[in-house]
Amino acid sequence: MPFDPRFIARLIPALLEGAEVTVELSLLTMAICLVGGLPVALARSVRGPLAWLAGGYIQLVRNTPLLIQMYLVYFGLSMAGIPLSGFASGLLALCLQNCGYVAEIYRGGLQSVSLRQFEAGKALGMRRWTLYTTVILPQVVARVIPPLTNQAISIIKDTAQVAAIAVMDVMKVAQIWVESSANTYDVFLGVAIIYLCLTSLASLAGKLFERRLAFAQ
Amino acid sequence: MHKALLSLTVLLLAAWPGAAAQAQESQLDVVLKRDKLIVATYSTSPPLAYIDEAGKLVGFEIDMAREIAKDLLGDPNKVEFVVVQSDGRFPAALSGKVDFGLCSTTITGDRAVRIAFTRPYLDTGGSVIARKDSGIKTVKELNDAKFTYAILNVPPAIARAKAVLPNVKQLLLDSPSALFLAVKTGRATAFSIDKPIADFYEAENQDLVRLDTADTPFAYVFQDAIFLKPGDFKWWLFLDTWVGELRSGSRYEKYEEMYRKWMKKDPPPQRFYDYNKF
Repeated sequence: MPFDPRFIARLIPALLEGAEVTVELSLLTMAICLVGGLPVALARSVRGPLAWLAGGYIQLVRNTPLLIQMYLVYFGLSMAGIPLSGFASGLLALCLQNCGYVAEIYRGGLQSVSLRQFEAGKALGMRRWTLYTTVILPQVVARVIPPLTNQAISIIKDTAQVAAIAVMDVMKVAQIWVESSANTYDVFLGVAIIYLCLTSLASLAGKLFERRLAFAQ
Repeated sequence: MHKALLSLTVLLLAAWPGAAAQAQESQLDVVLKRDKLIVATYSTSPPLAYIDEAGKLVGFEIDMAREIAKDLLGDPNKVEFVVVQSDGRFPAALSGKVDFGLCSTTITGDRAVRIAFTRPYLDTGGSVIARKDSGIKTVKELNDAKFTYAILNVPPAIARAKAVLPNVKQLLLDSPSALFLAVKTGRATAFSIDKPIADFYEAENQDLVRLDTADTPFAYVFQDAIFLKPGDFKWWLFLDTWVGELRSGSRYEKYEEMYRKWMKKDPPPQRFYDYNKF
């Protein structure tokens, strides 16, 4: 019997407890990738073996499923004698994959700034640092906010896959509740609403940033 | 935004089971008319339902579904298997996508609120399998913070682990094969799984050993049953009667044959007294 209010009243606190883990995992992944994507993007934009390495890394992580990466980190590293916890394995796999995406977003942002602006800056006698901090980067930051927001949303949804490696996130809690109650509809609808709230918050934050940085365009 | 929310709500309500008026036709008639049985099964729980080396779905539960098809439609091949994961099995039955589920499913009171079970076709229970190199022999020895214990994220297993093994680290995974992988790769020291599946893994793997469950609730029996959408008496009655006859009635010989084939041992006796001497 779907929409059983007493069942939902018992379900919500449990799901929220799982949602805490989902939020932690999402925020940590976003923070690490925002920073970690930068060196990868820079490595990719210079010529030489470094670019080749960064390109290979991006291809590898983008073109294999996240679930497989999680299994490899979680079970594979354990076989190699480095048993990371489920949370750490999930975080590592999420970061490995999303750093690749974020790096590509940064690279796209950098390439979107016309070369003429670099030349104009140099012609005006600007130093490299001034040129980047006052002319180039403000534009890049404003341009990467929308794709980064998309990425943040996809990170939030991707965290659901850590349920497969024994992390008690909202998805795992939901699976346990489905198992115990056979009430799949109520539980999964509850989970969908929680993810919807989290992703809506992410897009709202993205919108706010976008508005604040609109002057750069 | 409001418009979008409204249309989402309408969509959800329309998709909700039971929102539309249901025709009163029994699934038994639907199956007979369709001339094919549709059954939800697992594919990762040997020897009940798994993919064999030839890539075919086989097992005790698969044979059982074929026997039901044979009795219903005169042909053991008139059955379509829909392979589900554990969190997809109940919606598969409740939504009518399958005629019933045959997925090593344990009867519990909580589940029976929302799903109909037939009488059980199989006694099961938790068995605990550990790595031989861990050096432990009994479930009681496993109760130590230095060990990790992998279980399915199903309530009976979780509750039992909390009660019997409060000190061990728990690892909740979602399929028997993931549990097996966890122990094989050293992620976990031991795992608990339904007895028939444990028998299979123990026989196939020399580096694993079964732990002694004496004097623990692991020795108690759980019961697996066919599940279906509640409220269809005619269909439920057929399936329940069928299971009853298989397990302890006119089809016991078939039960014995299937049991020996897949579990490699004799089933529980048909009666707990000798009928001819009674």
